[in-house]
Amino acid sequence: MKFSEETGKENPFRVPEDYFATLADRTMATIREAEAAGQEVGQLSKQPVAVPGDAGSGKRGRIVRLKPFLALAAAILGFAILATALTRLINADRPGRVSDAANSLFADLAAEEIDIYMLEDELNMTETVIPEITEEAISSEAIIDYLMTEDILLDDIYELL
Amino acid sequence: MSQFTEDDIRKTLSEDADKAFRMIIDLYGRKLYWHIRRLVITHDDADDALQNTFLNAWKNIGSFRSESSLLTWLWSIATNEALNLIRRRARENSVALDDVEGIIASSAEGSTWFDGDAATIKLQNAILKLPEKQRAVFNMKYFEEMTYEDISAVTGTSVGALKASYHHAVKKIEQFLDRN
Repeated sequence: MKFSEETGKENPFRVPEDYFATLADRTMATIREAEAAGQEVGQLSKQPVAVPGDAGSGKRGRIVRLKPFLALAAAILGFAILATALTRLINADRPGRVSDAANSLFADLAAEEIDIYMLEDELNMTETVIPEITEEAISSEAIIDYLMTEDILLDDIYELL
Repeated sequence: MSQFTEDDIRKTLSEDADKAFRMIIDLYGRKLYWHIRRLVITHDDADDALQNTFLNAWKNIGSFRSESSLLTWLWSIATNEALNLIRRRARENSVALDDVEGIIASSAEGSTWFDGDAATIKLQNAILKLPEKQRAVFNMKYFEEMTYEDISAVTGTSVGALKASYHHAVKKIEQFLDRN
């Protein structure tokens, strides 16, 4: 049975009284509050909103992915600074000569190699194994759903055929 | 009821931005609200998304190109805002919010403002089973009776893809209603 015959287009949603009558006042008040608070207007939503012509949402994803590496770089820098400070402290009375203690410390630091491949694996950045596509039938509905949700333009595909 | 047109708003925009923006809210607020509401279901969520829509529009009104339709521009912002909110709610909840009862149960008491009979709830549940973007397309075509060309301008998807998507959405809804 066609759903439109069964249910029609009745509106089951209700709104509080005077909601639309006061909408402009409330919205302008919200804008004024945001401006007065010095907030960048448009940040009530914690998620980036795609405004037609805005291509900035990709930056957020790249920064999130780089965070572990930035933390790693900060840790290495911290070690280097600490090692330099210790060396200077140890050699305070013997300028120009590297002590045995400092040599040992540097050797220990060099030995702590970062297992980048283990790190990549933990971050799920290893090469993805793509499962072999079998000849099992994939429904046209599933294909359309995938194309719609991935914003793939069918016209572009037709041009390639 | 608004007595002015989009042309009136454009003329006012360069003279008095506040006045022009109030005109925008009066002229399009109701339409945008109902578009968002059908996607997010509860009133509180719709109000949040609508407020954010207007905030983003206010922030970006300077970049609005006068040759485009203001309503199409706002509709696109509203659609993105609603879909973002749906995704945010899905992450906040441990179960998929793909039925009206689940959404109402997960919302604050008195925030839903939903008053549908069993048949209406069944249709809404069928629509909620669709992928988010397909749901938006279905609502714009079925409830708001927009042309495919207008929906294409809002979503950036080709008319051909939209027709295919709507056709499949209708089939899925009918199958759901037949099974339930």
